[in-house]
Amino acid sequence: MFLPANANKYTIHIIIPFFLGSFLYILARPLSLAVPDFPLSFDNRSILMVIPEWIAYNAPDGLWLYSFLMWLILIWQGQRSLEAYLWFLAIILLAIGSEILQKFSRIAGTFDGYDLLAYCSAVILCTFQYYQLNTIPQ
Amino acid sequence: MKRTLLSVIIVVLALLTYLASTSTAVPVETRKVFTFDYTPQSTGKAGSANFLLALTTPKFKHADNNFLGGYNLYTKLQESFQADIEEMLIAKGFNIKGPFASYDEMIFTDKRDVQLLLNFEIVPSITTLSGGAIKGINANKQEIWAYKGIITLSGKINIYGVEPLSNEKVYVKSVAIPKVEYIELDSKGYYLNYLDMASTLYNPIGEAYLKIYSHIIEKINTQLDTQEMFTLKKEIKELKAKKGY
Repeated sequence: MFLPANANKYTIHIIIPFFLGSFLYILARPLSLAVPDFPLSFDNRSILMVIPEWIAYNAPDGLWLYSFLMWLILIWQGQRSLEAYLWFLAIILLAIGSEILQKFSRIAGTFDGYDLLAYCSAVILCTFQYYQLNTIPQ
Repeated sequence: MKRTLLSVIIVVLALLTYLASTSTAVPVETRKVFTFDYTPQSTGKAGSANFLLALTTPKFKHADNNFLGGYNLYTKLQESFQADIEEMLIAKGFNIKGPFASYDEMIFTDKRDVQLLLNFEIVPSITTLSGGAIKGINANKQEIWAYKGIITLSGKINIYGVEPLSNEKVYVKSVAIPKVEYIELDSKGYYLNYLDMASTLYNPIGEAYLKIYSHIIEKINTQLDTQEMFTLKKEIKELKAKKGY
């Protein structure tokens, strides 16, 4: 992926995806109930009607996972050590593993195949970014 | 070492994000026990009016089913209303038969002896001033319900009396239910079950009824005038005569 020379990698790959995911996650819930005394006349129910379901419910999961994995990638800076791989694996297992455990009712929540797809997309995108960032001269 | 520490922080943050985004069930608020009671101010001598009334069980028209479908606030109100109306009529000197579940429950001798059968129909009306029920979908794509809004409670009580043998209406009254304005309803969260959401609105609506209950009975007490009932005696007699009694 093309990266502008002056772009801050941390902002692009960590902060923006994390806050975008959080923003979408909050938007998917009526504010009048999430925020006490929120004026009903300014409620966001009309916005909820136009957001595609996958953006409201699946995209935040994918964006958060992308943000955390990219943070690890940027910390370890392409270092191919067992420890680095174990940290990546821990995050991936936490995300994908929790979804699979939900499928077998081992933890609270309902399995959603689209969440799994969002996680897999984030992992693939991060792998791609990993090679991109480590081949572009720093 | 610095990398390891940062990695631990990232994993902990990821875990916290996961925990924060996993919805937890909102506990359903405990429903209060409401006691609706009215004590008549004046008590006449029992049977002094020399007028035999029969009553049918008061009927509620559930105008606000949306709020309380399936919950028994109205059953409680109905039972108290029935007992207090009976008590009030006895205090006015009337003799009472019943209450009967319906007109059809009355046997012939009751119809023959009773001078007037009184029926009460309670018609509550709820006006939503702002807000309302919110249907959403949770992170697990399950349908969820919440309510946040402001309502006004009003309505009327229809009273109609029939001569039991002919089943002809001889007495009709409509008593307005005193208005309770600005009742704030807030389910304070989402519920997977619509009835659990409705249950959280039980207490404020029950409190509103509690506030006006004695006023309603007092209004009926004023409207059900003994002297007015006596004026019906002639008409009742004529209707019974038409049936050969």
